[in-house]
Amino acid sequence: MKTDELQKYIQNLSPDLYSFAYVLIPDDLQASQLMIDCVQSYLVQKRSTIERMALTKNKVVRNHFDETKAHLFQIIFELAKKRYKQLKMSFSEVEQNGGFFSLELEEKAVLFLKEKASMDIDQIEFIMNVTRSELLARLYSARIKMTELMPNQQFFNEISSENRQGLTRGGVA
Amino acid sequence: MPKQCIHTKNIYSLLDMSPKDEVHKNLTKHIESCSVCAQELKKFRLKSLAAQVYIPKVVMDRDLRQSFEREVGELFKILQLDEREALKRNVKHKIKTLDQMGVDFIKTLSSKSMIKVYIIAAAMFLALKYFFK
Repeated sequence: MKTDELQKYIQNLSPDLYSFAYVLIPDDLQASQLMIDCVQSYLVQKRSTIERMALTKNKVVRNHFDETKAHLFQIIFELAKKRYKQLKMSFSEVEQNGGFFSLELEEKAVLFLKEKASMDIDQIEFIMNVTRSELLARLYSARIKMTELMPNQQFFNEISSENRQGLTRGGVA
Repeated sequence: MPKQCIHTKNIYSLLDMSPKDEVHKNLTKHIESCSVCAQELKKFRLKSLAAQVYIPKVVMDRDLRQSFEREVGELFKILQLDEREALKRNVKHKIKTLDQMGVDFIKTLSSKSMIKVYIIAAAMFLALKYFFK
């Protein structure tokens, strides 16, 4: 029952899909609608692939599942880009409050995918459909903006690097 | 006045670059000998690390999750994405292909060029038959 497995796999992806959708459209109902639309769009787009998968060997199915996640994230991002302008008014308050949500859509996406979804650059490149240099530039500007937006900016400037060496040893790179 | 280095603006990209990258190798080498850049990178790493706390990972409400799971189940049902249906469609598609091949074969046999060939063959047969009589 490979399609059952796929169904369960997509259902289990819901926390990841939701947190990504919410980052792009910070409204719980809109975010969950975005997820449903993304799955529907995926199933329609990949129908023939899914049918072929249902009749193939298990090893091929595993590979297909890995690709599914990236495809779903990609569709969420595409749909969010289209809906963002129309829905912007409904969550303008969240954005005006500053912090992470005041960043641009692409910057929020790239930062979330890198830091919270722990995806590698290749996967993010595929999801956002941009070139590597564009992606690195987005990531760079997002990081800079994020550090500027952080509260207690002075606090971090004042702390001597020696006191925090232990923390850096773990590294984020 | 604090010391400055012209490479400082580039070192921020080290966080996201692949270690295999040539630029990464060059910058890493530079940092080993430049205390200004090394200090700046350390600061930037710390800030980025601290900024991670402000990137939200929103947890999904249980009701929303259940409703999503239901909707996904419905979608699979509506689109009839199960093995039996896929197998049925596959068999139908193969029968249709075979059927089409048969139709194409008959069409070719009864085409104008084939009729010419039949006439020529029949004429040759009759001519040979007459010759060897």
